Order: sequence, then structure tokens, then C-alpha cells
Amino acid sequence: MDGGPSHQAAEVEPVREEAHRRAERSLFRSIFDANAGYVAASLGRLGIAAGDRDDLVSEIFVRVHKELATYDADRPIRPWLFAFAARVASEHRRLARHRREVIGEVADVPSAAPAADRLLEDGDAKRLVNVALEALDEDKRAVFVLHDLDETPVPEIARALGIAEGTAYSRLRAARAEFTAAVRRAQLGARA
Amino acid sequence: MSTEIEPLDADVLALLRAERPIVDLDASAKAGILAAVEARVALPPMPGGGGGGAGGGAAFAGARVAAALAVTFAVGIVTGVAVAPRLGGSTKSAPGASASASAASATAASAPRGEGSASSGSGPALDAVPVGALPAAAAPASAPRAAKAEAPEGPAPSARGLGAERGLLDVARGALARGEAAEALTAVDRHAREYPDGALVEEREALAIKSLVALGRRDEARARAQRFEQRFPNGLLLRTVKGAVGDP
Repeated sequence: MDGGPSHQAAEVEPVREEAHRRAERSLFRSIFDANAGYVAASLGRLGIAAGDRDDLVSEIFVRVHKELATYDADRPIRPWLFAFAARVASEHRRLARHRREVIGEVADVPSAAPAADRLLEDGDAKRLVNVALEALDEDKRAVFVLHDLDETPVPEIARALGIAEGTAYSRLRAARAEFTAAVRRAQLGARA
Repeated sequence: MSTEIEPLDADVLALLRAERPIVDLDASAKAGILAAVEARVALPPMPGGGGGGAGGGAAFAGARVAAALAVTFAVGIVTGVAVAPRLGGSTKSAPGASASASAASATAASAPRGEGSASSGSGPALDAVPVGALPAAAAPASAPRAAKAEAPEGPAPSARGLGAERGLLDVARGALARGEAAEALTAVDRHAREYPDGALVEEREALAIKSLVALGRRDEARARAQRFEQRFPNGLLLRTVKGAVGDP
């Protein structure tokens, strides 16, 4: 379309770059608008306390901004975003553990999960799910949340998390068994 | 590799189903988070107007990146380079791993968050949702795309409107990926009816053209591609559209 002499190309290039930059900014904003809630919810499902969530959502989108060029455009965006959330949540927990060790705190990592014995009194499914999710280690939890809450197919999960499909399947099987067992324990505890 | 998974007990499945809907952040929380992101990515001012905003900067230089960005949002036509983030891994190029471990020191605004607004309802799961089952858009986005790009601080499509727009196009993209181009076109047509001047018109048109090609309606696809070029002469998806109709 613009295959003229080089001086013409030199004039066109800044215009094209500006158009790209505008579009990039607009699209990043659109992605943020459409997915910030999802990212925040994912952090909750990964066990991040509500008070820490906004800071971590911000951290995630800074990284997304930096890494957006690596996104495979043929894939749905949410599993890809989830992988950022899982990594940031993991780092946050590690840092919190380290801080507690350094200053000698005894409190556990702030968690979205309530005590199991309060669960069924108010029939709060969200609390029960959060308690049962706490029973999973972070690798299994990520696969389980992506599959059984986000309804992401296993091959997509494997791609997003950078793990083998067989690993994703085995984590999912183990996670389902552990999650179900945790639900049963919580139900028994609530009824006792 | 075994791909068999034991089904969940019915009551456990019901629990999980109840937890699937996403409650979106409220507008003030989103604004605070976005401001924190913009401050940290330190974007240079846009040439030709507009204040600071997310999306520019050296990290985004290059047409391939711009194309990846465009398709990231809705289309899925351009083949990008995927580098999957790794959980617990140390791959140098893994997204999310490259930033320093600063999660706990992030300096975002931390305004209290309400839980009032509805989910955008978009995402992978939407690929399996029939078009007819999608909720009608509450308020079609009216801000033209160009105006939104130049003035991100001004009126913009609501998150819900944008999410619904994106949801429709996700349905189309998923249908197209499954080889169900007629369904994709139905979703695209619905988007055209509900958001004639929406924020994702360019993406919609690119999907429509791709769907027409998949249905063998090449003449219609070419005609639409010509209109696309007239409407979006600098469009990020122009090259994709031309490739789809065999006019590189």
C-alpha cells in the first residue's frame, strides 16, 4: 500500500507507529477492563486474602503489559492470565512465609478461607469451596481451579501453565480427590 | 498418558458450579488498580495527544507485537509466538517470571472494593455457550473506537458492555476454531446488531471475513475485506484480513 520511495516511507513510518501505539494502549486497556475482575477472582481462588488482592492484580497487569507480545493469539486469554496470577500468588505466599520467619510471627498466611466449623451454618458455598481449596498444594490448586471453576480444557491448561498434558491430568485427578475429601471433612466438622 | 478423570460427586459439582460466576471489580477499584499499573509501566506521553495510559512503550514496539495485541483481545487469527508461563519453573522467557519478585511490594492504590457489578461473563467457557443463550447487552458501547484510543480517560464502554462485546466475539472465535463457521457468523451478526459502533468493530469484521472464507463465500468475504480496508486503512488486522481472502 505504501511501497513508494524511501523518503515517503520515512514519513509514513511515524504515523504508522503512532497508530500502533494508540491501538496498543486501547487494547491493553480493553483487556484490563474485561479481565481485571477475573484476575482478582482467580487470586481469591488461589488463596490470596481480599486485602492483598488489589496490589497483586496491579502487579499481574504490570507483568502482562510487559509480556503481552509472548501471548499466543490463537489461545484464549484467561488461562494465560491465570498463569500470571498463579505465579504472583505463589511469590506472595513465599515472601509472606519468609517475612514471618524473619520477624518471628506465628500467624499463618492471610487466607480467604474461614474456619471449617462455621461453614454449613450459613450454607455459604463460597466458604466451603475456599476451605477445600486450601487443602490443595498450589500446583494442583491451579489446575483444579482452571478446570473445575473456569471450565478450561486440560490441553489448554497444560499449554497455559507450561506443563505436560499428562501432568495436568494427574494433578487434576489428585486435586479432585483431595478437594472432595476436604469438602467431606468440612461437612463432618460442621455437623459435629 | 491417561486422560480419564473420575467425575465429581453431584453435590461437589453443584458447589463448584455455584462458584463459577465471576463478580467483577467495581469501577473505583478498577480505576485505582489501572492507575497503579500505568504509574509502574511509566508510559511515555502519546505523540499527537492523550495523556498517560496503558499500552505504549518500548515493550510494545513492532508490528508483530501490535498484531498479537489486537488478536489477543478478540480474534485469534494471527499466529503469535507462545511462551507459556511456568508454575514453579525458571524458564527465562516465561511470562510473569521476568519481573522481580515484587508482588508484596507492589504499590497499587488499595481502595476498598465493592462487589456489586456483574461479571463480564467472558472467557474460555464461553466457547461452549450457544449464541442464543447469551444475555442481551445492557448498554451497547457507543464511544467510537478511535475516540476511545485517543482519550482513554474520557467516556469509555462500560466494563460490562465491553465484556459482553468480547463475549460475543469469543463465541465466534471459539466456533470458528471448532470449524463451525456458520455459528461464528451468527455471533458476529449479533455483535453487529447490538454494537454497530462498538469498541471491537475491527475485530468483529475480521472474524466475519474469516468466517465467510471458511463457509466458501469468498466473493462476500472479498467485498467485506475491501470495505474493511477502506474503514481501517491502518488496521492492525488488515494484513490478517488480506491473508484470509488471499490478497496479501
